[in-house]
Amino acid sequence: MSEPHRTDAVPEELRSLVEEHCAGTLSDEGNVRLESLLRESELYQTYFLEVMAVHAGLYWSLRDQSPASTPTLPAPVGDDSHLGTPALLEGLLPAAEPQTSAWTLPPSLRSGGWFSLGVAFLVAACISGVVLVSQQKRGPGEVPVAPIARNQAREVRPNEAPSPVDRSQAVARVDKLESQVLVERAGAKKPAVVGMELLADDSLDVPGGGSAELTLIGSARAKLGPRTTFVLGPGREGILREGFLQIDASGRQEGSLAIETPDAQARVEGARLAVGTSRKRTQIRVSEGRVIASRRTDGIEVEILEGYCSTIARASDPNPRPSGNGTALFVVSSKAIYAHEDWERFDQILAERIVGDRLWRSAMPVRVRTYDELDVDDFDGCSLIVLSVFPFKVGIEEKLVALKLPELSTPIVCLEPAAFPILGLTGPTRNVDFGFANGPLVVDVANPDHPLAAGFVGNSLKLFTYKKSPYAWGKPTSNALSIVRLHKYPERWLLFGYEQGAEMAKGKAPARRVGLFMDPVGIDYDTPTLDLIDASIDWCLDVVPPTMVPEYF
Amino acid sequence: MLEWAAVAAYFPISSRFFHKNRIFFDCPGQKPPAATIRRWAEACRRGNMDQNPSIDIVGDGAGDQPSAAGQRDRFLGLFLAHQNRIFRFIVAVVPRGVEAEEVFQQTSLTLWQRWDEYDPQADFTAWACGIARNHLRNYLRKKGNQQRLFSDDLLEQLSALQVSKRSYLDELQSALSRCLELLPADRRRLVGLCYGEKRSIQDVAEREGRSPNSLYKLMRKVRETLYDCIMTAVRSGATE
Repeated sequence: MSEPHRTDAVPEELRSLVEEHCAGTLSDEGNVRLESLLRESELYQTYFLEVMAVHAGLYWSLRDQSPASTPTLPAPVGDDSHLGTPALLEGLLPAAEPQTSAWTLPPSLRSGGWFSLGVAFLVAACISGVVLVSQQKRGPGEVPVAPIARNQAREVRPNEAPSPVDRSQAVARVDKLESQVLVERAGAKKPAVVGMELLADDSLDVPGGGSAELTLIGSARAKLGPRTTFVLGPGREGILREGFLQIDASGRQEGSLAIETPDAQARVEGARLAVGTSRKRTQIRVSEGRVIASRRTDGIEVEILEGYCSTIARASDPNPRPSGNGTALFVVSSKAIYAHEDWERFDQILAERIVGDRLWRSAMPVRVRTYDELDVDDFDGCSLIVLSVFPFKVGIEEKLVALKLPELSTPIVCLEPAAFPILGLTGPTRNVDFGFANGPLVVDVANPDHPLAAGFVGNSLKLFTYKKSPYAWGKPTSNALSIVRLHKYPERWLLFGYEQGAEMAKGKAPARRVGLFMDPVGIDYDTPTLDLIDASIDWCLDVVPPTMVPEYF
Repeated sequence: MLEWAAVAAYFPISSRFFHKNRIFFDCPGQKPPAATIRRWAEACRRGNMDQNPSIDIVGDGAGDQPSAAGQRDRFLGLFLAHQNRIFRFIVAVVPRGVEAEEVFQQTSLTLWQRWDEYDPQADFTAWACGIARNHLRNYLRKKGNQQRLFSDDLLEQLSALQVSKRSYLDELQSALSRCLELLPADRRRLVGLCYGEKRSIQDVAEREGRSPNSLYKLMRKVRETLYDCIMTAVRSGATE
């Protein structure tokens, strides 16, 4: 790294010219003079780059600044550790704030002046800002937390003292990798490789879109999903700090595995399960055997049996609920071929990744297929299908019909309005039965008590985007469960669903169906609107949504 | 199924090579014929693939090429780690935030579109800054501000210097957060208006009831204060 130079070696003229350059007031003559000075020495060039780095840093770090709030601090830069938490996204994520009784949002979300358009093609998906000033959601006081009624819940027993374990012994082995997974050992990070032996205290970081498969001591197998951090403990234990973990310890009698998350501790006894954790909540789905989980905040313990899942979070009811097993199939259109000239298409790719990660974090193993790759075999063993948006008139509509997707008795969450008529959710006439428009997306929640509403309550909410963002709508039949509609056009719905057997615009629903417009431009990893995705998934899987303290205050 | 990673490991070549030589795996469901692989491998070893670029391998598209998701994630990983440096380079030439964002956006899109040309062994920042340089030229030409752009050779020097000093410049930006905290609240607010909201000086001056000239001077003082604070922090090693 270069040593900072003495700034008194920089002539005042250069300082003034660079300052004028920053301020955008440099004249043509000044520009010529600045260039001439910069050619004189590398020292001057370094000074120029230093000043401009400060100037750029101010733009970068204050990109979502609102007038009322104080500047947010810039994220560290140039640090590869940001692979897991993108610097650009970091400023957009809600910061930890003191809990308040009122339903408030972090300044970055309250601000309507998000890092407007540009700095990031990546975060164009986030920037347009979810303006939630007027948004309301049920506060913790409005809906009482369900009592721990079932007898599975009980005070946690003190753990037995762990037996001493040799930390130099391998506790796991890497079997399969997708994307570059990093292993942190004794403070140093290096890429994981297949066959690598892992020691206690090794931490694995799986990037977005990646995965890693491990064999743990005792031959239990573990799969880590995207955006996951997992720390191996000594012996048969591990800490899932964030992300998704699937454990298959079925049929093995070597004793229990212990998994910790920020919210829960779980003992796995010969079971197959999936654990998804995001900030403030952990979901555990058990598909075989049983899992004993305890909530870290109060030690309440629940037994989760096969076919059940539990959401463990502060002030939520951890009692197990019936859970859909199997895999979620996420069908996307994110191929470079579609991204060549359409800016929004690229946003869509990123949004798809976000939604995909969200599925993982609901403790659902996710299989991703593009529309091109989609085959009838992909539907096998699926509990849920999520259809992302796709480009029109490239043959996808016909393919969905050819694959008999409309008749499939698997629940479907459809994010693509052009597929609404194909699935029979709406009639076929564009601008009558479904349509696209631009404008401020102000909505009413018409059925706030329904689980699909994800706890959103009220009218004139700005749930999705702001300013003139493209959006789409559908007009379901009167048999639909109509949840969210445009405030200005009450007949246009952004979120609706059909119960299995309900009469749709075309035929009866073979399984639950949800039509949801999820703007790819206006979401980021923690946009509250994504709760609607979670709610749609839970409803399709017939999972009773937990009574949650909302995550976003 | 032939795994892309295995192929890449076995044959030390880049994805660029694959594209350059039209090596596609475009028959889903079929395994690559072993004879074809051997023939191709032999050609690789002899180094005559360039002379015989028509050798195609037929294989399972899903398994043999890096998946779309894999490509995307690798791109995103690098992009996210280096985006600030790219933006910094653009701002050095186009100092106005809104304009810099526009160029950054175009650059980002091009990076993605030309991702298959990226040589994994190459320096991502340097590659990205090269593309940004072209966009800067185009942008300023379109805006009729060609004269405001530094000449090609100086631009190249600055780009190279920026790449070689990236860690140092990263450190400066890391120190910015603390220095920003030390600013008086009213100045922080002004900084927020000018940089966070990217309002023009005239706009902010009007809003604040100041003359634009006094605001220019004030912002200059603010930048100088921040610069001095940052340099002090870096010298004292207090940038953590």
